[in-house]
Amino acid sequence: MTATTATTTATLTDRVAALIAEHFGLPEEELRSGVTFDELEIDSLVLVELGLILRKDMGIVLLEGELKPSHTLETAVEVIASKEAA
Amino acid sequence: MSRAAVLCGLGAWVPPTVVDNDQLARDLDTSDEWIRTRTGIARRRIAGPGLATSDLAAEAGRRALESARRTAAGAGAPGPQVDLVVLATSTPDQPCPATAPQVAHRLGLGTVAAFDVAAVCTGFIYALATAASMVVAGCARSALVIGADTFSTILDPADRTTRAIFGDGAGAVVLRAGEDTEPGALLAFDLHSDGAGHELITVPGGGARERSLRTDNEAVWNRYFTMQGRAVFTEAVVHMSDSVRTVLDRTGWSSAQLDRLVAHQANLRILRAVGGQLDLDDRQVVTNLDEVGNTVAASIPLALADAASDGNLRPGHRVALTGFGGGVTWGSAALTWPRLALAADAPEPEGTRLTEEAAHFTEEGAHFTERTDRTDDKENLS
Repeated sequence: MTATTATTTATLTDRVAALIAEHFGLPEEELRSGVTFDELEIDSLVLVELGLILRKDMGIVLLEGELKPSHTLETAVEVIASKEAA
Repeated sequence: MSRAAVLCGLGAWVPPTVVDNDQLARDLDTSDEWIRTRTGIARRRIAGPGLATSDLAAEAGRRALESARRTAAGAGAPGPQVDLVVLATSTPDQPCPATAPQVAHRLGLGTVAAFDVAAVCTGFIYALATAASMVVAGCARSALVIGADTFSTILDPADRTTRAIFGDGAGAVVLRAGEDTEPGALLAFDLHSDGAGHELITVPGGGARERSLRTDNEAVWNRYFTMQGRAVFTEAVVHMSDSVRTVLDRTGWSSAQLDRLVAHQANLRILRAVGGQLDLDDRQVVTNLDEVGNTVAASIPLALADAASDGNLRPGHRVALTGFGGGVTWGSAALTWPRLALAADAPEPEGTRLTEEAAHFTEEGAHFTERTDRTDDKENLS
């Protein structure tokens, strides 16, 4: 990973964490603790809602099921970053 | 100034039987909390034995016609001469013929044009656009547009998701020919479909496809309603939001200038997500599904009737209507809300309870009877 990519990913992680915290009322430190969405009781419907927020705020179009309850913030950001790069 | 269809009457009716979340939780693996947090629905109305779609449609239609007569009388104008009935439904009384002619007959409208429109939860928007276009084209002077469904008749009794979401009901509006500068004029429409998604919301069996393919040794295809919830959620939010933007562009209104969005009452979280996409606050987004659930083609006129009767929808409001449903289909309309007299203010008519009336239909065919009683409007409008 280049320094630029690392910075971009960190920025994206910050943005996604902030969006989840703002819309679903979850503390960012819990999101960043490496646990899965499922463990944070973020269910698949919330992930659908998150996908719609990402679409509006960042222009990122995710397909049904691309964000999974088994993801952590980190793995979800990888999926989102791949869409952003595409 | 140009010719337009003008909304001039509004009515709605839901059957009296209430099923709340606790009642569903007695039969199914669900709970009041689970249903409320995922759908925003607390209770719904069920038609029950003896009531079919035409019964609900006729009562909503009667109220809309009464509203139109009272509105016209208040303005010193003659009542509308309805010569078209368009009924949006996906649960017709029988596969053939359409249900609208029977409804027109029962309302005493004579030999007017009458047909059904099948666009599931977008049905009311499609029917409204169809009727408005016919009025503008001079094919009809006034139209009764009804959305009515009895989804309780096609739900799998063991399906906790669909049984929690759907309720039965009917709503109707009357359109007359007028000018686009009048309050109530339908100013813009936007209609779409995408048949690639036809399996997202479907009753797979019971139609020509099953009859053409199924062999004698094969089990009967599923004849219950099915829905792929998460995919539908995203499609519904994206398409309704885009479609509302289109009618806002066509009317020249901004999101901030829109006073009320009356969207198909699919699910509270869908409505909130649509509001979020359009930067609307909760006050701008009309909701009544907590009391009636998702009533399919009836949901938009039912929400209009509830909002108009409780003062949430007022004359002069800039209003957008939007829906998304099976097909998949979606669409929107825009209008400035007119001053209407509602049938709920009308003196009590004479007659029987609808259930007794329905029993009468069964016994003697579609003969419209006098009423001797009815349940309270406010209560039924919930």
